[in-house]
Amino acid sequence: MSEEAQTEEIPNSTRDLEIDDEKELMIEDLDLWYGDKQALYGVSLPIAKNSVTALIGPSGCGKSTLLRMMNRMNDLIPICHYDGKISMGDVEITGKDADLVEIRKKIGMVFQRPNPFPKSIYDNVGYGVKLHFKPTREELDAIVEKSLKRAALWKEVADRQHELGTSLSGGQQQRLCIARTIAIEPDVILMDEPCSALDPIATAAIEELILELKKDFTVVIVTHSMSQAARVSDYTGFMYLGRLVEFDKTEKIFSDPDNELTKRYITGRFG
Amino acid sequence: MWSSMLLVTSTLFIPLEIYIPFLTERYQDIFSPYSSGIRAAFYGTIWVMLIAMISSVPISVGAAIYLEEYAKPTKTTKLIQALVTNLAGVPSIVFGMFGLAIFVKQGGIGWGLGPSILAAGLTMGVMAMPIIVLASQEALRSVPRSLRESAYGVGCTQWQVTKDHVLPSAMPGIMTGSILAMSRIMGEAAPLVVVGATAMIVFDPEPLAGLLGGNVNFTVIPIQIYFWTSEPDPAWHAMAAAASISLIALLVAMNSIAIVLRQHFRRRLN
Ligand SMILES: Nc1ncnc2c1ncn2[C@@H]1O[C@H](COP(=O)(O)OP(=O)(O)OP(=O)(O)O)[C@@H](O)[C@H]1O
Ligand SMILES: [Mg+2]
Repeated sequence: MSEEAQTEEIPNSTRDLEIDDEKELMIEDLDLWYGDKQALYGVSLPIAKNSVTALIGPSGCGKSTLLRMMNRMNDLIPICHYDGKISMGDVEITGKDADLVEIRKKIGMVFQRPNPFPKSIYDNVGYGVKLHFKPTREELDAIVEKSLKRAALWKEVADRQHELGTSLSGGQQQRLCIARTIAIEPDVILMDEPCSALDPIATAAIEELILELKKDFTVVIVTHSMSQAARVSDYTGFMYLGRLVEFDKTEKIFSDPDNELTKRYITGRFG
Repeated sequence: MWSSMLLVTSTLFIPLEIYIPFLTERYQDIFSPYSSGIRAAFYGTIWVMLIAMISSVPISVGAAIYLEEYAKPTKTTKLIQALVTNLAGVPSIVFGMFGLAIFVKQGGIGWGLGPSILAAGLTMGVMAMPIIVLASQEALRSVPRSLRESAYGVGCTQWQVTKDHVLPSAMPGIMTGSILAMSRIMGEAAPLVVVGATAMIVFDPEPLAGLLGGNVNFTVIPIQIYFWTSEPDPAWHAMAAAASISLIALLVAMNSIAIVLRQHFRRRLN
């Protein structure tokens, strides 16, 4: 059976998109294409404020694509075009004349591979702050320190802030990227498999950090690890072949999913 | 290969008491080869290179940034790209003719700088441009996407991404490309024969003579070599050989600077 024919039979989540918590982001009926290959089919999804939403699903199902839509990172790919609406309060993120700088200030992103700037640890965190807020030297020092503390990195780098960010270990680099993101005080932090390049100890540190972060930020995380989704998230969306098959509270998805595909995926009987 | 390496290393063993006077001593007259040096040609080469560098590097790097980062892939962009690529392969004598028409001659589209160092430098600059544009584009293209993404991710505008992140990390490649372009034009004689370099120069060249008036005559090392080899007295042939070695030494020095710079930047980035 061709992939095209297959996708026709996969239902989008029919659950109505009302959630108990206050909504931070609202994705409505999003279609997306790379060239003439469709990667997302009518995805609708609410993102709850001050909570962690996990996106799970097999490789190539469109998790990263959906995540990168939320801060318009896909605009960097020339062949990518889309249809549908993402809004944040009354700001329309997918709007034609949306202010991308403002959006990315409000919606930060942590990538799969830690990618600190080839600058000092201090400048890595301070760069975005300087860009947006023009702080004085003392203010900047304070923001950098606070951000490194919130990213649970301060103890390790307090006396080596002027060394290169790229000289840290992988896990430290990833926390540095988190510090760089939260320094700008966004409302939402998007994380695309933030632990996939890290060892179990560094992973545990990041997971703990995510639980800490959700007090102040809304977190959306893409992960391949079922157990990670279960541990850190409040809501989970299961995607398959470009569709959001099921979306619900994490306990519900992992204990009693409605959809047969979801059940097979979370129990590892998939493919 | 081995012979050229031998030649290059052997230059390192020439004692400086011979070397320095040879570079700084003036050309005497046609009857006294052994007391002549290549001062005028040496200065001429340095000035031509400096003018070529100042006139070509900023424009070329700007063009590379535009083509690589900003231009939409339209037909016009593709045409410009093809032109640049082809220009890099155009024989140097053609650039000489271009320089003669635009920079040397007065009237029409000519700027009327005369057969001067300024005209020569600008001609060489034009010749270096496509090489620098291509090398810079290559360097910009090899900046990893993850760096651009992380910069956009903290809310940079396109210009901030270019200026704060892409350009610094492409810098080693751009500098190496520029220096290699300079060392290539340093060895060229053909375009400057057309522009009007002369051989028997006694006085130091005046770099701005084309503009401010004064003695426009100049020469460069390759031209000096060319004229000396065509003298009947074999003593001049030995002088030409010595001048060749100086030219090679200069080239080696420039390429070493390129290597050192690249290492320096690479260490800073990693
Ligand atoms: N830049 C691109 N150009 C063309 N097609 C792309 C591009 N990025 C992704 N795709 C396609 O879009 C689909 C979804 O990709 P996406 O990266 O969103 O998947 P994913 O769920 O994140 O997968 P993984 O778990 O492997 O990261 C895939 O079929 C992929 O081939
Ligand atoms: Mg992905």
